[in-house]
Amino acid sequence: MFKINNLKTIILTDKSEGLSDHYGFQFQFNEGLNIIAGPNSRGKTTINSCVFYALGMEELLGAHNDKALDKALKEEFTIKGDNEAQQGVNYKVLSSKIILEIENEKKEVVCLERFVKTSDETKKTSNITIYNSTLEHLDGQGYEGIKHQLYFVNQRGNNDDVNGFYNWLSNFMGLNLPQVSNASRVDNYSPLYLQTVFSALFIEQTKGWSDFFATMPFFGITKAKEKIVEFLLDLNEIHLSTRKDILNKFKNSLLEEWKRKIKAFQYLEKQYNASILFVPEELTTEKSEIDKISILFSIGEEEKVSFDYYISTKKQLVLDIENQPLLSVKENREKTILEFNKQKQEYSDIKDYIDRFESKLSVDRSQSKNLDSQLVVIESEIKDHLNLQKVFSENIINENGANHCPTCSQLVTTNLISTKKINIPQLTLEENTNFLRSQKKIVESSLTSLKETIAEKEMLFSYFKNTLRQKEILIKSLSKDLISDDRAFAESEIVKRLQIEREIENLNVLKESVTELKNDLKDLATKYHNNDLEIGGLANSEKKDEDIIASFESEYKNILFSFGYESNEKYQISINRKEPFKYFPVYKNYANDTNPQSIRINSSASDFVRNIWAYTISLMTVGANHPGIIMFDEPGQHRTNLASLKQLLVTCSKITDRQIIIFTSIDKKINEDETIDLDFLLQGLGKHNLIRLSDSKKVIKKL
Amino acid sequence: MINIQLDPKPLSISIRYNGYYKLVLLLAIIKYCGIGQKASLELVHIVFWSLRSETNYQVLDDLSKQVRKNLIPWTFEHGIEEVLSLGFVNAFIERIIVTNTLEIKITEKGIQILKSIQEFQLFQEELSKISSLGKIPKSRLQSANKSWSII
Repeated sequence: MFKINNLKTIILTDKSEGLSDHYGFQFQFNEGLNIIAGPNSRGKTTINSCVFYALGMEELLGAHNDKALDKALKEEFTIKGDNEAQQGVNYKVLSSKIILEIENEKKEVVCLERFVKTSDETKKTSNITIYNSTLEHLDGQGYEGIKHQLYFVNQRGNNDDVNGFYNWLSNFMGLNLPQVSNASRVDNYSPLYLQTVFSALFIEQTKGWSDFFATMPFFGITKAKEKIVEFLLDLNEIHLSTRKDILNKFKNSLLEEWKRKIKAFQYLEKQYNASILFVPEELTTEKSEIDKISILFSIGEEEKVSFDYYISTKKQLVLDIENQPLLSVKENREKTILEFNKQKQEYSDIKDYIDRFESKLSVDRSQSKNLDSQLVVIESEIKDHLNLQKVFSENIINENGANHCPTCSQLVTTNLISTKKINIPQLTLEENTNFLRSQKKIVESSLTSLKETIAEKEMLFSYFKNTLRQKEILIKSLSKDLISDDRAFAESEIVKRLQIEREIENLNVLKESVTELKNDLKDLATKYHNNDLEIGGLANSEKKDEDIIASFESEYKNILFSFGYESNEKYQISINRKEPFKYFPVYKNYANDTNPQSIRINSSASDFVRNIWAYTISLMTVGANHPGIIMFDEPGQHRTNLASLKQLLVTCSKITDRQIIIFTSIDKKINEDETIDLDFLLQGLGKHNLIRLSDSKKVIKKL
Repeated sequence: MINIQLDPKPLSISIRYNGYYKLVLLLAIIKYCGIGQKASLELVHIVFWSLRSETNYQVLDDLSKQVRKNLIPWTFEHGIEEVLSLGFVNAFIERIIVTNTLEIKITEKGIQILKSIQEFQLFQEELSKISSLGKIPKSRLQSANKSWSII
């Protein structure tokens, strides 16, 4: 848990006399309720965005680095004179920074310093410096001798690297960010990024009121909103689901492995010209099913024989040849001619087949080569896209900068493909990077499968060639027999015997491979079974979670109805335990309604805003892992009424051990009949800290 | 009546059509290949052409290292005029006249941009290719251009 003590903005301007002549603002925040009130455009949003920025949360405002901030902090601002009619004085910002003093449960106080605009290259806006000191001390005694450390915000690893800012901040808050499954990470896991958690804490004034956690940046975390709730409420589910995920992934990998093994059978079939029967296509944990797998050989058109029979006939053949007296060529001539013709026919058939096979193989090979070169192109494109994005995010070149001709102020295009007449709509750099990444994935996956097929085909190819060679040798010896002296011994018989012997050897190899594969399958089946048992076991540890959710639900409903929610009856509203809208409020027509509906659709606009108030507050009061701070910018949205707004302040003022910061306009119409009346809101309100902005002047002044 | 509405979907376009990408390369070309931090349009075009493929690069690299004295037919780079205007309005480059021809000179601001790009180690591949080409004197380029060969 942590709270904000002080916020200070320091600006050095072109009109500053000396380096210590500063402009800016400073505000003190207390535990409990803080209200920042003032008329429109006095700088509430500036203060608000400074808090986001100092905590490295500007992504929730929809931008990186200083782009999230108002131009008053980085370009120029005006200070009006006391007299209304007087012209204001313009100041150009030379450099500016924000200092935020925060304190954690252990009473450790630190100051976060982040530059908005800097003239010094060593000070980057993407870094935050932590000073182990109070703001008062820094102001009084200066920075000398104070321990400090630099952390980075906008780079890879900002959540888990020791020098990453969010890693530091979560440690400071005493929170341990869990690992969650993340589709956009190579290893499939990432920490639950702190920026996503803060979207449940800081409600920004425009987008923030449109949905629960509406400003959450996208990082590819699976079911990110659910994970945030699980984390804040400290539910077991978050660890369970990660474990479940791992188990499910393992399960899938087992299934894939199974498929690969099954393929290996087909491959053996082709290689040995056998048929392997009873191969279970789908994974089975029945061992007897696996034992059933057997090898058959066809010896005629229809006739098939078992492996043992086949091998024994081959062995018999060898014996027969051995037992026969060696025939001379003459005695064997008729047989030789027949055999010669038969072998020749077979030879040309195989040769034909091989030729066709080879041409197919070469098509595959050239395709693979093509894909390889495509992959190289895509990879270099992705790299360049990332490089260019970095150029913009580090502000080396300002993407939205001076693209107008200084003389005629015409727009200078940065898009080299469209012309004045033809405009080609293009993906942005980020969109295109994502697009290219998915392209890369497609190419990679087709490459892997293609390479597998090629490897298989190459094996088969060499087997075919080998068969062809054997035939060649046999034909050669047969033809030799045909032209040699009639009295000589027939060579072909000997060659034939040798070949059959080799065939028997091969058959034994086949048998071994099949047995080995069967054992592999049994192994897989055992692993699969154990994995399934573990998945089943996880379901039992959910009772504790249910207690937490139940107390969260009742807190939420009580707060919600105290705000004057009237779109539905109390019994119709509940926190959903299952998908869809898991952990979020839903509307049910009756108690056992199996089709819960989104609370947003079933509430009026103002009632939905009340929902966000209640939901955010109860997450804080019930959540064991909640950082202990919430911030509402303009909660008086969508014609909520003044009474509700007052009730919000009353509810918040009763929470004294956390910090609530509310920014509100005053004298603005909240609906047709009411304007926001600060006096009415504060009347009889409990303990609170009011920061009242000036009615006439903006927030930035001489310090 | 049926009302047909065409909804253009954004396309994925190669980064080679991004003005800023080419601007970065342009700055590098002027700095590394041009003599005196300035380059003629001819030089800019031919270096961009050489970056299109390995074969092209080899030809120009050979010319730069004086392994060959002629060039194969080469082409102008698309969109250079936009890239130049982008550079001018941002004041990364400026125009100067050297012996009656227009040349592009890199400004201090442009050099700073390149420096920070190097610091972040961005576009390493392209930049190292450009810098390893080295400075190509105008006279060598001109004489090579007079004798094109097919390979």
